Amino acid sequence: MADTVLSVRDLSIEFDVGGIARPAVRDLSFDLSAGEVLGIVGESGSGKSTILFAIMRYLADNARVPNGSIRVGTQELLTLSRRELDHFRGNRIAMIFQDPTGALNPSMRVGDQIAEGILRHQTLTVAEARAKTMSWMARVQLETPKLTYAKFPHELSGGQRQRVMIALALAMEPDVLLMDEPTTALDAVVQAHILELVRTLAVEENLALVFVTHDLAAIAKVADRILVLYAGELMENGPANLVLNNPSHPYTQALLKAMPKLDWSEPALAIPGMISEAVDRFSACVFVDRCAQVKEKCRTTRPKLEPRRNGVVSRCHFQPFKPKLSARPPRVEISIPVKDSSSILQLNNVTLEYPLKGVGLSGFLPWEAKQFQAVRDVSFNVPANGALAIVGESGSGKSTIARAILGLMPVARGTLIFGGEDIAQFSRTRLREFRQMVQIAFQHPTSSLNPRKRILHQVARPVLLAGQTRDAGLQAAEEMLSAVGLNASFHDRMPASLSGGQLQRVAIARAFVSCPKLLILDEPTTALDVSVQAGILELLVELKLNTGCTFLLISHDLAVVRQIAQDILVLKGGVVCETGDIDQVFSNPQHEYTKTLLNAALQV
Amino acid sequence: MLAKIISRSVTGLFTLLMVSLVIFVSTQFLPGDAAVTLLGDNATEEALSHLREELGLNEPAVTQYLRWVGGIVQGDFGVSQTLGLPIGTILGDRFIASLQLTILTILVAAIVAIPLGVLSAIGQGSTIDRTVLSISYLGISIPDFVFGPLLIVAFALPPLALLPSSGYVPLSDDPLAWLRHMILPVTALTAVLTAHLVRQTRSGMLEVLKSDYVRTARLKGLPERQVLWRHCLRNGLATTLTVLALDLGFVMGSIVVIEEVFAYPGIGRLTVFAIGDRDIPLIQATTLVIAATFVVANILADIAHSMLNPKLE
Ligand code: SF4
Repeated sequence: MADTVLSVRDLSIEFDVGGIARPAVRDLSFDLSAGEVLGIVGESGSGKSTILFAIMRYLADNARVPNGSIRVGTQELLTLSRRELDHFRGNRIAMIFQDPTGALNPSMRVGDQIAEGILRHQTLTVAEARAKTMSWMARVQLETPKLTYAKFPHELSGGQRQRVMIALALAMEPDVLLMDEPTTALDAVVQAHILELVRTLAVEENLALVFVTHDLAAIAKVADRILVLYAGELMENGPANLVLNNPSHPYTQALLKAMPKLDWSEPALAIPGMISEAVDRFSACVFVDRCAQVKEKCRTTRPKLEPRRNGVVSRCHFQPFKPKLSARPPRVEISIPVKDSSSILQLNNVTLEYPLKGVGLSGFLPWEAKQFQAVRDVSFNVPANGALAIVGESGSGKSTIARAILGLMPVARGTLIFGGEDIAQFSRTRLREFRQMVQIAFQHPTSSLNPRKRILHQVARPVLLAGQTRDAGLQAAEEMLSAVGLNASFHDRMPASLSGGQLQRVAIARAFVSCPKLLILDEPTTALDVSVQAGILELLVELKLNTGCTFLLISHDLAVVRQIAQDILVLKGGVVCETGDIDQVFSNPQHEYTKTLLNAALQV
Repeated sequence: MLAKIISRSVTGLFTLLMVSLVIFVSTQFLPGDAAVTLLGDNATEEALSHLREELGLNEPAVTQYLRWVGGIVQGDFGVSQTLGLPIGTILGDRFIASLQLTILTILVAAIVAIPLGVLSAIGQGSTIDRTVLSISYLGISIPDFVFGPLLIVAFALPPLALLPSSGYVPLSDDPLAWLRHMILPVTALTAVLTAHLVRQTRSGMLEVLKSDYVRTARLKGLPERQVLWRHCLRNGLATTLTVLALDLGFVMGSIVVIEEVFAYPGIGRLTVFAIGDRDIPLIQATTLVIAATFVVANILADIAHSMLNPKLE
């Protein structure tokens, strides 16, 4: 193309780990013109962020680039000297990161941080740079730029901070903007707004924009073209609507099917297996272990990038299979008819407070003590055998409720009733029984697992705590591990040698092994890749069917919630907005906030 | 900010009140009788009871405590039993002498430790870094009561005999002599502190150098020098300065030992003297003053901390 701004050719990147060259990216090529948005989608281990840092020339010290070229305009970046680089970064290419909180200097006013970049690359006076900063703040829709200029990062919300980062990058007037998961850390509603803003600004500024994410739904909102990356290999590259609606590569097809659907039209299907990190993986197809359409040739020969129809290129030996609509498995029905309408857990007008603490001596005296109300006057019922989802954005108080149920924080006002009894009145023995009947699985399974104990023993522990014999415990643990899909080869392994999805399976096995009555799932799949998440969702549904355990699911992700829950409770700022049957709430939301959340939930 | 300072000061006063109570109660249990201490073992029972009456020792403990605290509030620390002088006057000079030692120690530590810590963090893994780390390791492991005498042997005794081994000359009398008397005790006091501070500074800076906002600054295209000055130092040194203010209290504690080693007439030595002679009013006064410096150091640290972290304001 005539106006190609960014051109990457045959780029390979590897990391030297203990003398062994571990390849991260192999022979990557793509072009990007002004005014075009390229979405790079990939799961963890795909090398997507590495590519951005390679373009910024900010790779770790042990990284090598054995071959390839990265050009902006006519300038080759890989041969720039350190000094030339300083004039290039910011000025020609700018970058925005996932976590806007860490990316801003906590002790510098946000306006000054923007102006600093302007002053570095443009010959303006300080006053002009300030004026320019404020006009950019207005363009990224930060209200009252004058006031915001003088604020410190912590005085802004997460969304506002990301807007500051966007202003910071664009005020330097780069030709190329790189965004690394820029909306992943944000709440859904904010995310939707930022994506819209990014799209508008890219057009107005005629930017060449690279948007990297694991989230196909987010990419669908902004990208003109989509590049699918897997294990460091470009799998498919083409116009966004073709890649999303008519994917030609088996991996892209599988990835789309792994996404949970908000309307529950079809279940999310996991991609079995794990991403390959093998040093020699490029001698075959990198997807070979997980591909449903694998043939003999795939194991011996690396597929070439083949042109398909309408400007799509795809790295697969075979022409795409037409996705057969009828081949989809039937929708899983998980609602068990409620035998008795009794509730297992009931919250009556519960208010929960955190004490606000300062440094050192401050805050321990009565006149300095302050309370923060995290949850106000919340009431709900979890019917026995049911599955209730508590949905809300960060700060809504949803995790605080889980902590209170587990007895990890005091209840300021109101009562918690479990199995007809007030938890606060529990005797010591009853409390011990209660702790066995209620289990929890967290977002980060590592936090609940002991890093120095073998998997089998960790899973057996709750049984032993319940006073059963060692043999009984180990047997129960073995059965449970095989139920969550981990075979005997995992028994003696340590947590560190497991992947995120496998660890979450261990955590779930550990929670289920003592046959709990109630399982609290706190964002159980948030830290996982889409292809793995689908597997955990399937597993949870299956366990629910087999054990009849009651679920309390805490999540921000409506599509995930839809896969598991029967009832839903929408929480905002510690107050209940709406509660009811999930089908009814999704199809006919009553509360404004529920509508906003549903609208903001992105779908491909 | 003002509200914060006031609130911290109130908290500080409250803490001191608690401390005074603890001091008072514990000195009540010290063996010995103040009247006997004053009059000697051969005093008649009559003379003793007369003196007890005079000193108010027969009154209930609560009254004695209130009188003591009431006196301090008005600047009256009572009378030293062994010296027969008002404690206020003795304390004043000694306190100033000790304060000079403390402040000088803190200054030297900061001037030496901060640049070294910063340099060592910037060149992590370099020769400078490794040298600084090993020396600071040594500094941490030698206690000051060992280091002090070693210094005397090396520099104050023959053959070198460069510096005086003990004593104190007021700054106003003879600045040069003052300095010569300060060098050895300050060195002894500052060794551990500097070592500790170097490590603090280094780890604080390393954390900042790894931070995402330093990456942002570099990817803005700022030259490394500017990244360091504008983005690293303030954040990297925030904890160091807080620790430094807290160390003011720590030095006040070490001073008891070092002043004894160098026969330096400060508050630490006065405390040792008071304890040796069971001079209860003097023990009470000196410990309270040392506790007060701790509390003031804490308040200063707290204020420094919130000034350097806009987040906490
Ligand atoms: S080359 Fe073979 S293994 Fe690889 S994606 Fe195509 S069909 Fe699957």
